[in-house]
Amino acid sequence: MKRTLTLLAIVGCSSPSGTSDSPAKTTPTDSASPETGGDGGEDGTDGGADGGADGADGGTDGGGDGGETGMSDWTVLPNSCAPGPLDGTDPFVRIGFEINQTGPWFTEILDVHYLPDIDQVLTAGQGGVAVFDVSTLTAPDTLGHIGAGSGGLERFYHVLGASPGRAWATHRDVGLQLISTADPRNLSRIVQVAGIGYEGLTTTGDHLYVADLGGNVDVYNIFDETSPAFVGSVLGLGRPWDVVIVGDAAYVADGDLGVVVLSLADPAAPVHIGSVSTGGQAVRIVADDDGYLYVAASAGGLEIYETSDPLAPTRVASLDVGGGALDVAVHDGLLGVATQEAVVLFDIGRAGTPEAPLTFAYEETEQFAMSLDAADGRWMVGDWNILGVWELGTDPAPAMDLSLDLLTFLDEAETRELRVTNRGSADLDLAGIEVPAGIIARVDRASIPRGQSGTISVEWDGVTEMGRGTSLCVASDDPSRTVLRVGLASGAEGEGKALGQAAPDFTLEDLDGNIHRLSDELGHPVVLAYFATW
Amino acid sequence: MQDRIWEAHGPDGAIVWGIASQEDAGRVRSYTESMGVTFPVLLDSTGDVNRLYDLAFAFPTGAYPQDFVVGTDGRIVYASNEPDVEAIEVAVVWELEGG
Repeated sequence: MKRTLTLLAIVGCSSPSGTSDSPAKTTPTDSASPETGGDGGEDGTDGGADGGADGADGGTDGGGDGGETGMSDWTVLPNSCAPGPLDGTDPFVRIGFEINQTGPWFTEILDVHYLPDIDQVLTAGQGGVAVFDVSTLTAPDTLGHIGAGSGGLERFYHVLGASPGRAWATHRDVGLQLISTADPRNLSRIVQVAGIGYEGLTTTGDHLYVADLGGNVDVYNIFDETSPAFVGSVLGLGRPWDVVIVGDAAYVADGDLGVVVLSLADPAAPVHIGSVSTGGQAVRIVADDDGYLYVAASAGGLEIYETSDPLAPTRVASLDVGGGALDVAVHDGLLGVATQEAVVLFDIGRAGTPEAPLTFAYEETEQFAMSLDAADGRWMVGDWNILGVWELGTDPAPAMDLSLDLLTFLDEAETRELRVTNRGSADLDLAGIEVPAGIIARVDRASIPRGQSGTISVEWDGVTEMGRGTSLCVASDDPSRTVLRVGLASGAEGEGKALGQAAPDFTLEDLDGNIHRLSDELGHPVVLAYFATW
Repeated sequence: MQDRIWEAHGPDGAIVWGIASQEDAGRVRSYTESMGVTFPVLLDSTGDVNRLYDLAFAFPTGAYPQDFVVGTDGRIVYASNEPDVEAIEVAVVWELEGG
């Protein structure tokens, strides 16, 4: 439902080559790739708000969803796209932002790190490492940036504060860097350690741990930050994307294995204890002060683990976030998840708990929300070429999210279903559904409690042609998204079950020897034409 | 063919890949050259990718061609085994315009 056309134009303009006619190259990178990861999409859009989020359902859901017979009260809402009276105000609001698309460089942010003490934000991305001043809420100021000097797109995927005035950053092709941010308008490289495939990193005491997509976690002694000394590796992992430390254990988000447990009894020589598989590729992991782990499991959604037995984490909740979970942050009793399309908040420490999170807010972003970080009541959202500064509003409010943004019908009369999920903190009331000729839309309920879903049944007469701008429109009392449109197209002979599912990822070589990976094209529509020469 | 989509919408960010499964590269090359294909043609020499999609989203007829459109969020927004460039284009444009 995003305005991706605008985005693509922006991305095109921001490419280092300065041209907008090289469509394939300035995309969200494979840092985001696991969204389309093969194993994660088994239940597609219906990823199931099982686990904790459903805890909110019990009381209010009653017998309404008791099966087909319980869903008999289908009603037709007014054929209108005029929203009803709005419910509350936006509970999560962007209060400032910086757009980097016109200057001599761009950001294409893949990681953000907020330094509240000095009101600065470090970002890493395909444009390099940048420092923003966020002391002025209305206009964060871009202070400075630095590339790796490797030419072409930078592949800085993670950034982390080091000692004051310094930051660690990892670059997929170049390795680990220590960057001086002491003069934020003039960043400089202090030291570089060569490495390929370095991703997320963390530090504790004298040691730095960095995830290596090649299957390792590498350990450096950083007693002297300016001279990191390699002390060893944990080998034989799958695709480590990120690592976090809780006490004497490290937990690795591993795209193949899930959450990998390392014992740090000897910090210089971690020992691989075992792993717990996740519902999708685990790509980012954070921990809170109570030892809970929050794992962004791409297409598998967001998973929460408790670590009362540090070497055997136990999953306590699995959250449908309405898309792929790409990054996660915990702050102020809230869990924030970046899904590329949106930032999704859950209450885990106010009325909710990590075991029974409550939906709180769902806000689409302008571009690609790939990363977020939070402190001191402010949330920094890395939204590709926008750094957004967000704050909580005061009122509870509903948040409307639809399971599909395009419905394609077969060459015969049929009925398809859309799921409407309320990801907000108050009841969602649907006010109307505007449909074109040839379509009848019915709903199983017009009021959707917090954290629950409703169904819109869309019936096509099998005759009226649809396409090229045909859509239906759903209006509600969500104060930030009063109206959502779903495209309608007829004439496809596809099997309905494919629609809305995560496309299985693959990597193939073309006739000219170029390698293409589907997940590298996240952000672009991709036509896959399977053909036979026979 | 899908060339039309590649030429019309490639500059806006659309991507078109042909995928040839378990076929000889030379034969594919001569076929695509004769058809004037300008978009990249990927070689699924083991057939693994074809199987991946077949297993996940088997079409009633199993017939070729099979066309999918993967949306900007990595989800399938269109699937068909009837050649229908117009319908593919509708899906691509919808995705480019973001709804």
